[in-house]
Parts: sequence; C-alpha cells; structure tokens
Amino acid sequence: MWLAGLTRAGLSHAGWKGAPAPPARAPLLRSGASGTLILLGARFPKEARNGHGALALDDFYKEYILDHYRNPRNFGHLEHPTAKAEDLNPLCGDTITMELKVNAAGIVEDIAFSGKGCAISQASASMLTELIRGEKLEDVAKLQQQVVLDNVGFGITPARMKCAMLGLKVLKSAALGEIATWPDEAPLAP
Amino acid sequence: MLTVVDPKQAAIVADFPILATTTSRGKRLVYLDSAASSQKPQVVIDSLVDYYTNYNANIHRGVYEIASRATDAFEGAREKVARFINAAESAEVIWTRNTTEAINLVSFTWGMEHLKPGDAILASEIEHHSNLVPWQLLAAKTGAQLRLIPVDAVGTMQIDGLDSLLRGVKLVAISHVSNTLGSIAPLEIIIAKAHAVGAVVLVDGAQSVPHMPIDVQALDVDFFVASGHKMCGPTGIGFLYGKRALLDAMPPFLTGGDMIRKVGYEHSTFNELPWKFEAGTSNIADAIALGVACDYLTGIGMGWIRQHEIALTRYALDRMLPLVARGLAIYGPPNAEDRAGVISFNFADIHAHDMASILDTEGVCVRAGHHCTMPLMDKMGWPATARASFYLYNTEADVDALIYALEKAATVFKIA
Repeated sequence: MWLAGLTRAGLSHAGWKGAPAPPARAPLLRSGASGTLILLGARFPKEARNGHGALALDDFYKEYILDHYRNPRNFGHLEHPTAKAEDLNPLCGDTITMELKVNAAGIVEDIAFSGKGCAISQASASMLTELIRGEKLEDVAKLQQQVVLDNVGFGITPARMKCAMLGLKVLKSAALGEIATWPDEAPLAP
Repeated sequence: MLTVVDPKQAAIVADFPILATTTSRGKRLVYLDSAASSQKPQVVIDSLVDYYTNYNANIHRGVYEIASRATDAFEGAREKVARFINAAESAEVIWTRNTTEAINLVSFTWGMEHLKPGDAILASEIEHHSNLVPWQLLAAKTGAQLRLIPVDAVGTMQIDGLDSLLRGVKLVAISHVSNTLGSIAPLEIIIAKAHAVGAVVLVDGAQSVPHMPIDVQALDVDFFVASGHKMCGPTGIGFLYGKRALLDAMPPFLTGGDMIRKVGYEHSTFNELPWKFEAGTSNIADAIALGVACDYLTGIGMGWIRQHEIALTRYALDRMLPLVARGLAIYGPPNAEDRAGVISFNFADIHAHDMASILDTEGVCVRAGHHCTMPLMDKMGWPATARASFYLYNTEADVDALIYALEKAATVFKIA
C-alpha cells in the first residue's frame, strides 16, 4: 500500500524559486509486509549512501541542498500550532524548531520549521517538511533515520550525522509529544 | 609528498610520524588543530612504549630496581616541567589530568578556604569554559561575585577600568592566550595590579606554554596551569604550578593513598608538597612522557617556536586577505605579533561545520564550533567559527593547502 502523500509528485513545488528540480526518485516510504514503514529511497545508488561509499562528502553539497539551505521551505512559524518541539545540537549550536498543525482526524495540515545552523542540518530539516503535509501524525512519529539518509544523506560522515538527524529528531519529538530516540538503531556519535 | 626547504623545519616535520600519513582520500594530512591537541614527536611515543616495556612499576614505595627507576623517571619529569616554566622548585609542580582539573583543584581548595560573601573573582569575557564554569560555581557556593574583564572586537582585554574592577577581588583567573582568537593577555599589568590589591592570580596557560617561553617567576604569577597534550605530550596529564607558600597553606583536594603521611582509623596527616595533592596512583607513563616532550621542545627552542608561529601566522593572514573581498571574515588581532598561531574565520554564508567538512575532504584538519567559549561567541554574534591553529611542525605548504581548500569551499558553495 503506497502512502501517497509522501511522494514527491504529491508535493507543491511552489517553493523552488526556479532552482533545479531534484533527481527523480521513487516514493520515500511504503508499508512493509509487517506493517512498518520501510524505505525505498532511489535517489542515489546504494553504494553511494551513508557516507561510507566511494563518493566524497563535497558531492553532498549539491545545488538543491544549497538551495534548501539558502531558501528553506516551510520556514517560519504557524499561527496556531497543535504540536511543537525544539532541540539543539550542543556541540555545534545548530538549533531546529518544528511546529505542526494536526486536525481532528490526525492528519498534518501544516508544518513550519525555524532554526539556524549548518547546511546539512537546515537542508535536511527543510526537505523533511516537504514530505509531511497531509500525512498521518502516527506515521510521522514512526519515521526512521533512514528517511534522512536516503533523502539527503549520501556523503555525510559519521561526525556530521547529528547535524543531518536534528530535524528528524525534532519532527518526531513534536509528533510524539516527547523526546524522540532511535531505539532500534545504533546510537549516534556525540 | 611534502617538500620542506628549511632543514630545521624539515627535521621537525620528520619528528612527527603522523605527518607522513595520508587520509582515506589519499590526501596528505594537514593538521591545523593544535590548539585542540598537538601531535606527538616519535621520542614522546617511544618513551611511553619504553616505560610499559622496560620498567612498568608503581612508584614511591617499591624497593626493587624497576620501581626505583619508575620513581626516578616520574620525579625527573616533574623537574623537567619545573625547569620548562622556570619554577623555583619542582615541589611547586603538581600533576593533574589536565588544565581543567588543575583549575578545579584551586577552586575547591584555595577558593573554598579564602572566598566569602562580598569578595569578588575577576575573570575575562574571553575565557574558555574551563576557566569560567569553576568560578561560576565557586561564586555560587561562597557568595562571592564573579566579574569579567571586557574584551574588544578583536579579543583584546580592555584594562582601562581594571582598577575599579579589582576592588574587593581576592582571585584573578585569566587565560594567557585565547584559544578562540589567539589574542594575548597583558599579563604583566594585570598581575601587578592584582597583587597591589592583595589578590592571587591564576593564569590558564593551556594555549601559551606550548607556544612561547614561560617564566612563572618573572611573571610573578601565583598559579599557572596547563595540559600536556597541547605541548607534544600525551593526553591525561597536565599540571598546576603554585607558589610554595600558597600550596603549603591549602587543604588537600582528592584524598586517599600517596597523599598521606600517617593514617590512623580516626585521623590522618597529609604528605608534603607536591604529593599532598596527588591522591592515588599517578599517571606515571604520561607524566614521564610529558617530561620528554619538555626536553624535545627545549631542544627546538621555545623562542624559535614563537618566531616560527608568528611568521607562519603572518603568511596565512597575507594569503587569506584576498579572500576577504569574497566574504571571508578573519577574527582576532590583525597583526601576527599580537596573537598566537590561531586564526578563527568564517567564509560568506558557509557555516563553520560545513567549512570544516569540506576542508576535511582535502586533508585539512580544522576545528569548527564555539571552541568552548560560548559566551564570547554570543557577545561577538558568531554562531560558530572555523579555526586553524599552528604549531612548530606546520609549514607554509600547510597554509597553501588551507588556502586551496578554502577556494574549493567557495566553489562548492558557489561563492563568486
């Protein structure tokens, strides 16, 4: 069963301001056999993912990443958020705030983020916000780190993983109403 | 392969085996993060192996041969550190884990004994967290007030108002050299004025003692603290220098073995200096290796190292200057003579962490972030800076590699 709202095709590109479109790819998520969300992530070849492949990190700073950094989508604040979370990466000072507006049916109607920091943290957060509108809050709460890795993560070194994951951590925290953790995944280096 | 023309410089580079290595991308290692931790010469590495291979034993009470040898090497290293900073006697040098522990030792002993409500502690706005947080806590515990010497936009301490700042001050605690901006504190004036009001002065020498000649007696400083790993020694060993009269009057810090004279079930008396402050088995191997590092640096010449770093910093500033038109911001004192070999910078809208990652792809190691000076960063309005720092083994070729990598960062971020 496809989760239609999480496809790039289902999103408005109004915020792109003429920037080049990202590479075509398959939907980010689908329901696995067990009912959990699993990832398809076809943007990058498998060997290039997770920062341990042959491609250099400077390849990470692609034009659309820089565009998200300099022109972040859904940046700002909601008038009446129903869920909100903020966090910082104390080592580098990156900060992210996520605000959600969730309707009675549990669907995310609107999202905004704010913060400051490096291109990796800010672009990762910006790209995440584009995937969330129209989704069920319970699905947002189940998002895994792999979403970020496959969305923006290739070339990211272990030292920068916290930057990449900050937006997702805050988004999940807002959806959960408590600090999000990654129980089923290896802890991130401090 | 790096080619260094000056034979002395070439010999120094060859002393550091890590500088002959390459990164996973096949780039020559260009190590510009010595303000965080220095690299180690082969003689220091060898001394660690020698101790563990040939005379590993506990010190001070062993009667057998290798225990005596270990004790002699351990106490000999203390004498080397004492000579390195020109202490009057080696008993004034107390081993600690690092600068931070040495500062905490003074805070918990001298500080708790002498400070009371109405007193003041004077630090500065440029302090590393390790020379700020202990005094915040001491002030909270004793009811004393914490004051700060202001710094200007390039990180120079503003001492015009020092006389009024010093009123009621019992302790002055300042860093000699800023780890973030490289600016050098006017120690002579501050120490003289502090002593004139009866205050005791602690100098955080973590960023100065590796890079310039230090004479604690000429400075007339009361406490001087530093870390071994920033001065070619191993991690886990540092020292507190204190004037004997002050150390003698201080209560012990940590208590237990080695720091006692006589122990009964009810009461104990404490050992004499310096062992009064060294509870438990010391970091024997690393203390010995720090002594070897002092010998190594003395052999090169601390005056030579200072002049080398001034020249290299001047070369780096000259080469960075053309990039200012493209958005490079260079922080700290404009003249190389006025700073240690530390250059903090930001480039257009490239965040310092992105900058450090891109430099890393070229093998260039720099630090990025707040450099443990968050209040200073807030005051200056910088979310983060990238920082290149130099030491005796750095060369103009290292600076050239930095400039090349900065150009690459500008290309990656499409900065015109």
